[in-house]
Amino acid sequence: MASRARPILSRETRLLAATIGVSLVVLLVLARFRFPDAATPSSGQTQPLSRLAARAAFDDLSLAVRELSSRVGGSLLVVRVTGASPGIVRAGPGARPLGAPLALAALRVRDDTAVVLLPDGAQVEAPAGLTAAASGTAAPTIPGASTVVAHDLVRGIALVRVPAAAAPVLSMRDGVEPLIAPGYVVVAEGSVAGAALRPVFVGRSDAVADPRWDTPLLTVGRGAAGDIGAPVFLLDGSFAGLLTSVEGEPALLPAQVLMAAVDQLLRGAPTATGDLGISTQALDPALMAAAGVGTGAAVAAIESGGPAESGLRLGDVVTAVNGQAVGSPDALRLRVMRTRPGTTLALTVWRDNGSATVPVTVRARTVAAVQSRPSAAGDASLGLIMRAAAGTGSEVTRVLDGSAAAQAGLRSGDEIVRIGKTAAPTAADVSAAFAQTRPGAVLFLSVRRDRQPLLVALRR
Amino acid sequence: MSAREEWREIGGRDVLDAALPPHGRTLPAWLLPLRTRAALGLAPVIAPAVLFVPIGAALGPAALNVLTPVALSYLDTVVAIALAALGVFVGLALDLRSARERGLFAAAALEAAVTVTLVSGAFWYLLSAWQMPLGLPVGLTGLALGLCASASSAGIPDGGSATHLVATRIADLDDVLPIVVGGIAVVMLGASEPMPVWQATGWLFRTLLIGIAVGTAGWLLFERAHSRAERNVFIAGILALIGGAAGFLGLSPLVAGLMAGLLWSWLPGHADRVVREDLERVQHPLIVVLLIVAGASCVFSREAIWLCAPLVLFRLAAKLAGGWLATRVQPVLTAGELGTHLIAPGLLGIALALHLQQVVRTTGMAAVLTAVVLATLAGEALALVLRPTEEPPS
Repeated sequence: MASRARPILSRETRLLAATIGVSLVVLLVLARFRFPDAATPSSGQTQPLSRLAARAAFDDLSLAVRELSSRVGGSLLVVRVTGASPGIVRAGPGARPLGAPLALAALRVRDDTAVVLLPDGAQVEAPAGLTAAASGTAAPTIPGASTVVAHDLVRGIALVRVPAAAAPVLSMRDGVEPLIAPGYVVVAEGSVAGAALRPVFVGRSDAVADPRWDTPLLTVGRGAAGDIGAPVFLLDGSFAGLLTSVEGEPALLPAQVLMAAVDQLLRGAPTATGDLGISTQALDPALMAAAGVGTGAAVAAIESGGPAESGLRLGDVVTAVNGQAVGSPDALRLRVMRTRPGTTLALTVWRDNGSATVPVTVRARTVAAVQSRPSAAGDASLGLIMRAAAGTGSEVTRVLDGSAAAQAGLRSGDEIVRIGKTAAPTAADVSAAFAQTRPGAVLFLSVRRDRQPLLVALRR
Repeated sequence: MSAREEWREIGGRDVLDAALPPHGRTLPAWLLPLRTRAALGLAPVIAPAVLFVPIGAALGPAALNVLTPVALSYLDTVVAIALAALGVFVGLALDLRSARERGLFAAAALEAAVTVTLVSGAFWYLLSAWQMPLGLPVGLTGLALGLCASASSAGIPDGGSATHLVATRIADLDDVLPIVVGGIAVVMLGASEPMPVWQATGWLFRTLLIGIAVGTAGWLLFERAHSRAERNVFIAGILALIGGAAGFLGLSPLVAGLMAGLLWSWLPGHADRVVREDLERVQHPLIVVLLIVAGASCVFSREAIWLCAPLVLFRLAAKLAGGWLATRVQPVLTAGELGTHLIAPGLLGIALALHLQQVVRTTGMAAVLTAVVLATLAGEALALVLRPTEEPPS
């Protein structure tokens, strides 16, 4: 019987050779195909063709900006703010020294009136010290005298009288929806040489709440961080709004909202300067633990006879106004300031580990003065040695180590100006209030330290 | 099936098989074809992928949209923990204390390197020629496909032949290279700007440090557990910590898990044994979630289809070449037809592709994931056809 012939190559080797052969053929055949779509550059190293394509896109953008310049240039002005005159003082981070010129791009809303958004913290104390210059994007600035017609102190919008000229008709972007992103917008940046248009890339645009406005503003990304106050246009030539800042981040004030505010200013409606007669402070970890809430504005002092005296208590944490969340004392201040005096606001406060709604009627802003009466005494269990402070309450002269007062952070020199509803408490009032507090509970003191109100949580 | 084989890959016997009655004893003869395993001829280790990936695809946004993109994003953390569990299994399998084990690891690394090189090179050439609009660097895309292709399973048990036993170990150990290189690729692909390899390698060491730190903490906890239930809680917590920390930092949970598993097998005590036993209990739901998410994340685009077929072919050629070369270079391996035993892809390729897709959520990476998933299913089917020559039991 003849035996079967043994193959020269093993089954594995034959299978391997066949597979490799087929793979090579398939590889060579498939490599002849081309995808119709252009390859997308995926790394920082762009291919030559991609670079050429990007150049074309940049050229298109440059052309669009140039066309936009001819269309909107007549509406743009540069308002120069000189701090040397008693007109404008710019405050806050990045403040310029008095006398340094500040060039702000402005938008002509009437033939003789332009709107300008002053940066955060800027204040106009008198309608003087502004000069305005009509300028095209290429024309040199021609200074001319101007006056501030109206100024919304809270929102920073100012209407400025400018040399009369025929203003071109601008189309406005409708609605307050976020910008189409990613994409480009064009900002008008002001300089002493005039207004210049510059494209800015917007990678993402979201609605963001701002206490100064009822309508959410729109984020535009950090690319426009240096252009606060600049008018913004879309590439189709429509006016999108003004750049402002929300908590340090650039945001777009939509054109529709801006124009409503401008109309209000033009009608001569008084800009609101509401006040609640309270001082607030941010929540630090100790106050958070004592109050039992993480965000809001803690009431540190309540003015005697003020609108909030009957409704608010020391230690209350205001978390919302008319249902709109309030995250910080600044947000509460701005929200109240833009409320017309006489309006009743519904304050949501966190008190005794529960939420309550307190109606408070806003009054016109005045300089608050906390009334108090003198007293004198000391209390060892509390850990405070106090003396009467004329007209304010009790002054802490010594804080005993390890006492409740020391743990609460009271210092020598602090003036206790209110406990609960008792204004200008005597030392006996302080001791009695502390004694009446349940062990483990918190007693809120309104303290004046370095002439600033301060809320102190004193735990029994 | 050997004792070691019971915990290989994703943990040995599948829950489905455990639920099935013994073959041919309790069921009437006419019902036998309805048994999934008997009908499909699938081994326990491959049944989950074949079953759950299509379910995930049916539930995903491309079909029923029960698993919406938002719901899938919520499952990212679970997937990271599942990846960490897979990494731990591979780390526990990496026992290099004997010369034979070191030889097997060298052979597995060689086989994986050959597979990665061949598949990556072929796709680098193809993608360069195609100009496929994936939006990803061609080199890294080819590398990703190569890494996903290099993972393998030992396929259908053939009654305990010598080659199959060796292939089981090789299949466990050849996952190490793609996991480690994948850890670098994850960092490079996830970076917002092009990152040099040396910098990505630095991040790999940070991943290893996470694995060492959490692994050490886990080892201390395991040793002090008073009961099995307490130890189970510790193990689940440590697993969540590995996956969560690595996922949060944009690093590879597979690498961190691998390092932790390696540490537990090296450290004194019985940490490796207890972890292995307990992980077998929790791995199934994790793996099921991973497979369903992978299926749901598939986008059956033109690019995915074009990538899939060559991937199946190139992987087959590369696996055969890798097995052939490893058998001849490494004297420890005396078995024949190693490559044929490694045709079944297993799950790690899908896991690796899913992890890359979670780091780089682009349509291009979705196409890569879909291609890998389809190629895995095709590879499992191919493994049924290209069966190795039967050998006598060892």
